[in-house]
Amino acid sequence: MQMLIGYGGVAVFLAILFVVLQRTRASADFSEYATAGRSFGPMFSAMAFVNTWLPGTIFIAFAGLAASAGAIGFYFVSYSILAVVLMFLLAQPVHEWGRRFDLRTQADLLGLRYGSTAVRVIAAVIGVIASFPWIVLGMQSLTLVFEYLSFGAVSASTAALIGIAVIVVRQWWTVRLGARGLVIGDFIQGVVAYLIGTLLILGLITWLVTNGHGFGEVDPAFFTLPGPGSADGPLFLFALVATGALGGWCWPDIFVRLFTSDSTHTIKRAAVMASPLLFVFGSALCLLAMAASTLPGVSDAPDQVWFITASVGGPLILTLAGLCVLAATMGNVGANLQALGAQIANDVVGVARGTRVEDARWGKVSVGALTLLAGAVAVATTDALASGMVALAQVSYQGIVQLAPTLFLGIFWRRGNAAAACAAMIVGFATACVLQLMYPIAIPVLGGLTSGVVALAVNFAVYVAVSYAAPAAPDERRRVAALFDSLHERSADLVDAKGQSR
Amino acid sequence: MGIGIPGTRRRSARIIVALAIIDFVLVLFPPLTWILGHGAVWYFLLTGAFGVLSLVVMYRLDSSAEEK
Repeated sequence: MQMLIGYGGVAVFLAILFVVLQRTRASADFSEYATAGRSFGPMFSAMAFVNTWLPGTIFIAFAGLAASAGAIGFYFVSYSILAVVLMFLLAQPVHEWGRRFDLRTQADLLGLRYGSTAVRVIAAVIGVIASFPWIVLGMQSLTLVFEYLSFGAVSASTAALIGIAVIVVRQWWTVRLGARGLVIGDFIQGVVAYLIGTLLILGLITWLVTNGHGFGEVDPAFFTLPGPGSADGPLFLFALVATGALGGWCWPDIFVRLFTSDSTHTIKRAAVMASPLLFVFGSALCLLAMAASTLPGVSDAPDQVWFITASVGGPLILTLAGLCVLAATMGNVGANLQALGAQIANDVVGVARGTRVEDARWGKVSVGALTLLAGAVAVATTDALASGMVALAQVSYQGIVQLAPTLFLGIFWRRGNAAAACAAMIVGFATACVLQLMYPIAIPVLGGLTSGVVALAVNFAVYVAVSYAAPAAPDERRRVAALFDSLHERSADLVDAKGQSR
Repeated sequence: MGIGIPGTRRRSARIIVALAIIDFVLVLFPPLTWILGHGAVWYFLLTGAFGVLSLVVMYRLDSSAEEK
């Protein structure tokens, strides 16, 4: 009976989602497939951003960190707010250039800004390589959901396969509908994961506090942060937050959300709407995990704190908790697959064929192939830790952050050029990979800085040095100046009804 | 774009950039986390709330500059 409630709840949620998606119209061409026709308002844009930004593992690994180490777990809330501030600042250039030049992907924008196919392809390849392990891990992260919701009837290995199957089937609509289906799906999934999720968290905190698991019982060390003399190093927290805030916009799936909004104003409004949701949800989840750290079983398996705590409410509450994880995971994995598929079709296949991709079928084939490949790898590596998938994901995380100087300096600084971008990305990526293998957690002699942050400093220095040492040709400088100047002119003067630059 | 009074837009843009810089300094300046690290939860809650409020102010400034 309990399993019927758990798996039945999942089936009902999926049925509602699939009915809504089934009624969504498909894309007419590749541009619409990749950007949803730049048609969504602030509410959908905000929820699409949040559902893409927060992976399902926010309830597992991130909550687990707060349950095992305390307040440092809040670091994801801090970097999320900073990422939203960056979203506000990126809104105008990214949306305006995207609309005027029909940009479909992050790599497309970089190709335009630097006038370089090499920059476009390198950025696309780094994005795909770095994101792939996270798609696989995302698919595997549903193991706990289907294990707990079976109430002991299904083993972990079977639950892993069920989770992968569910997430792969869900991608039928991602393949068919592209970005439009994702944004609509994100809205429904976001309501479940973060609005119902927040209510659930507040209810569980109330239960914990009134049942002898208040914050007074928590280990006092949980309320302090690493500083001078601490084991992690005084700069460890800085490195975590900086990597999250700057690296967030380097992920192709996050960045492409900026292209699905209908105006600059919408993106800014979406940022204002997303920030309180991220703040309240994230803070509440961390507080819950800290308070629940005194529950039996949590210290032995902190990653399961969400499920252990929800178990006190019985099968219905546990099912709701499982649905939150499922909804969050589906948003993140789907967004990743769609963005990477579009990027492969647009910036790798399109460039190799020497044509601008216009047929939505290229996107569908690319997203479909990527889904099947990720599903196969997920099945083959269900023990992610032993297979090295977790280590690979950690390396790739530090690697993708290396797009940040090329991305941010490219958008906010006119002087950067293609040579600087290529050199910085390659040197930064290589440095991050080598350092990450040598120092998987942090570099003690550098005060706890992580490999990605040290590589970022090298990357930034290379970018600035090459920009000054090898300036672009006068024609290219004029082209870039016109690109920046266009942001200060009336859009109606520059764009015709089809979005083509005049 | 560019339909507000240039002086008003410039002033708003400067305040927006200043608020963004303050947001980053509050969270990323290590000595601040060392000093306030003993009340870690309050530190995160207050800097997070400031970030949310600063975004509201940034949005208001941006919108009013556009309208003018």
